[in-house]
Amino acid sequence: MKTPMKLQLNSDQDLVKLYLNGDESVLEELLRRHKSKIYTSIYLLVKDQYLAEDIFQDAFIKVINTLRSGRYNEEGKFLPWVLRIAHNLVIDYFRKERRTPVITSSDGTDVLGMLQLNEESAEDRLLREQTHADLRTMIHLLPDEQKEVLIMRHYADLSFKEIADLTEVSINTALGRMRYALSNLRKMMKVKEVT
Amino acid sequence: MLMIKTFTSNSSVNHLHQQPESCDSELIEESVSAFYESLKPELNKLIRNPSEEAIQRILAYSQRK
Repeated sequence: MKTPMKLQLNSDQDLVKLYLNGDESVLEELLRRHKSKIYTSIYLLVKDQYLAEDIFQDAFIKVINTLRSGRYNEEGKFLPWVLRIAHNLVIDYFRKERRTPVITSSDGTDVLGMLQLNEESAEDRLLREQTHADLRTMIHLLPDEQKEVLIMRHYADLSFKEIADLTEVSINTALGRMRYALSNLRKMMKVKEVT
Repeated sequence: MLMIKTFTSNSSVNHLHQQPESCDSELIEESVSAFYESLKPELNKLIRNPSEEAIQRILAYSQRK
C-alpha cells in the first residue's frame, strides 16, 4: 500500500477534509498511518486474528459511514475517535459472547499461527512464539481496566488525557491504572522467573 | 524576628494537575517507569498489522459508498 509523498505530510484533520471532498486516496494514507495501532489494540483485547480483522473492518466501515453522513466532529482527533469506535465494537462482541457457549482449544495453542511459513528454524520460531505468548498471556491476566490503559498508551499511542476521555475516568485514575498494570506485569515476570 | 521560609510546592500531585500531558517518566514512579522502558522492546514485538485483504475490502467499501 503506497500513498503519495505529499499526503504523508498532511495532518489527520487535513486528510479527513480531503476525504470529505471526495479524495479517496487519503483513506489509504489514514489506514497506513494508523492500522497497526488500531489493529494491535483490537487484537490484544480479543486474542483472535480473524475476529480482530472483522472488528477492524467494521470499525472502518463505521468511520466511513460517519464521515460520509457529515456527523464527524472535526474538533476531535481522528485516532482516538476510531479507537473509541473499535473499543465499543470489542465491548459489543464480549457482551454477545457472554450469551453464547465458549469454544476454546484444550491447550490454547495458536494453531493457525503455527502454520505460518517463514525462514527461521522451527526451534527459534517456537521459542519466539513462546516468549510472545507468555507476554500476551500476562497482559491478558491483567484486570480489564489496567489492560485497556496499557494497550491504549503503548500500542495506540494515546495520551493519558485521551485515555481518560475515552474511558471516562480522571487522568489520575488512568495514570494509576497504568502504574498498576506495569507493576502487576513486573510481579508476574518475577514469578515466572522463579518457577 | 521570626523568619518564615516560603516555597513553591513541586510535588508530583501538583505537577499532574498542571501538566497532564507530561511524558511518562515524569508521571509514573521512577522504578515503574524504568521497568516500562525495559519492557517496551518486548511489548513492541507484539505489534501486528491487519492483512492486506482487510485493507483492500475497506478501500473497496469506501469506493462503493
